[in-house]
Amino acid sequence: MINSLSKDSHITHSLPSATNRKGSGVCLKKREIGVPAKNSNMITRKPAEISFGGFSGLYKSKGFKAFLETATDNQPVFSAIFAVLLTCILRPAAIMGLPGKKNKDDKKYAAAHSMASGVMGYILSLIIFSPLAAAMKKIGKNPQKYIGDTAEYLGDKASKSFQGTKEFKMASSIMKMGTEAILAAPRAIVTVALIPPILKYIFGWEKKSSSKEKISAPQNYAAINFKSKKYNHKKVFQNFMGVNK
Amino acid sequence: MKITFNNNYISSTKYSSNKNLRSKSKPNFTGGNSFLKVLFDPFSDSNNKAVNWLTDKIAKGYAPILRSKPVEKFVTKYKNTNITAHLSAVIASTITLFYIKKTLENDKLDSKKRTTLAINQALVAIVSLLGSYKLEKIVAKPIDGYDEIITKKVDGKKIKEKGKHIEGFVDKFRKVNTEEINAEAKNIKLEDIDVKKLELEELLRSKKIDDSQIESLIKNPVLETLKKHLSAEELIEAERIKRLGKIDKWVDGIRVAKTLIIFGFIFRFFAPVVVTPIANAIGNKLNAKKEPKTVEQKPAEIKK
Repeated sequence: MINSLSKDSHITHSLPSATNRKGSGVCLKKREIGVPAKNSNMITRKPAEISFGGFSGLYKSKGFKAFLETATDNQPVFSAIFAVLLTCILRPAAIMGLPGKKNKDDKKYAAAHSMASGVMGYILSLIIFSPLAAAMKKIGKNPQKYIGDTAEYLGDKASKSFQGTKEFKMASSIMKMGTEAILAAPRAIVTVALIPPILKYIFGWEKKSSSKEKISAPQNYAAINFKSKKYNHKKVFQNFMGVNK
Repeated sequence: MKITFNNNYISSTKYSSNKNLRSKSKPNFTGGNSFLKVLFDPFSDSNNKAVNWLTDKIAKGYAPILRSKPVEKFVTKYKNTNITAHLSAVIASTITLFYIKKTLENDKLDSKKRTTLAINQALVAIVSLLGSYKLEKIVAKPIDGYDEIITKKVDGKKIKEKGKHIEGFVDKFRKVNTEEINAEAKNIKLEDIDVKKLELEELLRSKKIDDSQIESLIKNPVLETLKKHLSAEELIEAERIKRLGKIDKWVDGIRVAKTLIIFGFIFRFFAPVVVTPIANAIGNKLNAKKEPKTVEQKPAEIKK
C-alpha cells in the first residue's frame, strides 16, 4: 500500500527536497515507520504518466487517423487495401512457408497469383468505388443540393453534423457496400480473367504443367485389356501407332 | 513529392561559431500526404472538372435511391445494427457463390471431384461466416469496452448487476484525443479558422439578430462579418467543437475497420490458406473411401 502510494506523482513531488535527492536511501513513508527503503531510486521517480496499454502513440498518429477516415468514407477501397496486405505479404509467405506436395515453381506461381489478384482487386476497387464514395461524401457535405427537402429520415440537412447522423451513415454504407455486393461477381470475373495475362506479359511468368503431374498421370491400363468393352480398341491403337484419323 | 532544403544553412553555419546557434538543415517533405490520398481516396475533394462532373452525376443518381421508401424503411428499421458486418457477409457469400459456380462448370475436373469441391467451398464459407461473426463479438469487448457484471445473492437468489465500465480502445482513444484537441484550442488563431465549416446557427440565434440576417450569415459566413456578432472566444469555441466532432468520425472508423479487417482476414487468408486445404484433404479421403476398387486402377493382366 505504502509502496503503491509512493509511486503516485503528487506524493513524490510533495516530498521534501532532501528526501527527494537520489541515493538518500530512505523513503519518507518508510522512514516514518523506521524501515529502510530497498530501492533508493523509488522517490526520485518521474511523475507517473497515464499509460494506455502501449497504444499512446497510435491514438495521436495522423496516419492512423487518415486510415480510419478511409475506413469510414470508403469501405470497399479500405477492404481492398487490407486485401493487398494479405495477398501480397501474408498469403505468399504462407504458401512458400507451409510444407506441401507442390514443387517450388508451383508455389512461386501460386504466390504470384495471390499478389496479382490482390493488386488487381485494389485497382478495380479504386476505379469503381472511389467515385461512388466521393459522390456520397458530396451528398453528406451538401445534402440540400443533391437530395433537396425530401428524404427527411436522414436527418437535419441544414446542420453541419448531417454526415454524422446514424441514418445517413447507414444509408451511405448501403449505397457503397451494396454496390460492391452487386458488382462482386463481375469484379471477380474481371480479376480472374486479367491475372494470367498480367503474370505472363508483365512478370513473364506462365504456369507450366508440372513434371510431377506428367509422370504420375494415371495410366489407362484398361485400354490394353482386350476384354474391356469400355474402350474403342481400334481408336486406341490408331493413336498408339500414330495413324492419321 | 517535393523536397526543399533550407538555403540559409550555409550562411548561418559560416558565421556562427556556436554549434547550438546553427540552424540545422531539415529537409521538408511535402506531398507524402497527397500520395496517401491518391492511394486511399483519389476522387475526394478533387478540383478536376471531369472528376467533379462524374461524382456530381453519381450523387444525383443516388438521390432517388435515397428518397425511395424501401431504403427509408430499411434504414429506420436497422439503423442500430452492424450493417458493415452484414454487408461484408453478403459480399463474401456472393463471391463464394461465384467460385462454386465456376467449380461446377470446370470441365477439367471429373463430376465427383467437382461436387466435392463445391460442397467444400460452401462449407468453408459457412464456417468462415460464423467464425467472422464470433470473432467480431470477441474483439468488440477490448475495443468498445464493457460493463462488468457482478452477481449478488439476495435472499438466496442470484441477481446480476452492472458493475464499473472497463475502458476499451475506443474510450482511451476518445480520452487522449479530446485532451489533445482541448490543449490545441488554446493556440487557435482566428485567421486559421475556416468559418464555413463551423456550426454557428445556435450561437447566432442566442444573440439579438434578425432571422434573415442569421440566414445570410450562415449561408455565406465571412470571418470579418461574423466578428461583429461573435467574440473571438466564441469563434474559437465553435472551432474546438468542430474539431471534437472529428473524434466521432475516427471512432466510427475504428469500428468499421475492425469489422472489415476481421471479415477480410477470415475470407481472404484464414479460409483459403488454413481451412480449404484441410477441407479438401477430408473430401479427397472420403471420396477415396467411397470409390470402389475398379479394374482401371490396376494394371490389367495381358493374356497370351
